[in-house]
Amino acid sequence: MSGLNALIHQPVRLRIMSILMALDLDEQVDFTFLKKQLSLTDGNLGAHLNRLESAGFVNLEKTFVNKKPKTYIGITGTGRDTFSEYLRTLNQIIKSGKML
Amino acid sequence: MDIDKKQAQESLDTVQKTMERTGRAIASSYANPMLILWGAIWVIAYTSSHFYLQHVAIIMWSMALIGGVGSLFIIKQHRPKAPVKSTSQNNLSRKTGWMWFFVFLYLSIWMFVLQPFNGLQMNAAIVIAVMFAYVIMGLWFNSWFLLILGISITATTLLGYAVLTPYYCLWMAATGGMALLVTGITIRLRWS
Repeated sequence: MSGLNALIHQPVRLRIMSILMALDLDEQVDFTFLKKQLSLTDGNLGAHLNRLESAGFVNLEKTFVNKKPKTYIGITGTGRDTFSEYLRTLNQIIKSGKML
Repeated sequence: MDIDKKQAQESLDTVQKTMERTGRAIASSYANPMLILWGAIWVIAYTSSHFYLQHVAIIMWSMALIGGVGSLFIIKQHRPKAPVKSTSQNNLSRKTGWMWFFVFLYLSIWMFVLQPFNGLQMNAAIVIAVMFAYVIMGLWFNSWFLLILGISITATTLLGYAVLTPYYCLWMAATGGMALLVTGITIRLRWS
């Protein structure tokens, strides 16, 4: 049984990954929406996203909509797999009652 | 890293709640302007139909036209502010738009073929056909909300048509129209 992924287990990143997991495979979420849902500042959210992007869990796409800059965030295949594995580990801990 | 059973359960609860809240927030951003628009149209159309039943065809088709134009306006306004971007969503929206066009086109054809009928029959037939489309969409997209909405408004329509005939239009304004309006406003206030 592999251990919990510490990068994902951090409370803010856990919620970011949960939001992204709620999307369909080909969907990306707007940075502003994510910021509102998590009640974070631009800088704080940006820092967490950079860590997740460096790990290959999310992808960031900067674009323009009606001449205004927009950033969309999506979850990668690796991100989905790692998060699913994280959830499996949590369930195993709950079932076995053992610490990991 | 080490965590115990309680901490694991808390993390799992956080994931579940966050995913549910996200789903509701995304759905509300799309659904509530439409529900409010169609709820208002429904209330106006049925209340007017009660007092001017002889003009029901003009009232219902003009309100449907206003609703169609209003929906297109909402979609156009909403697109840049949409919280989620999807490559298949655009295709899906286009197909959904065409589906509604064909629902109303075929409804008009059936009306033409099946005439003559009174205003009440026409009124109920329009609602039931639209709700049939909701039920199909609910099954197609695995949406309990659309499925239950379609079935309950069909049942409400039949009850009003068969039992509360003299007050059918007011019944529909109060139940169907107000249900859409209240759902739209509730989603806006609670889910956004």
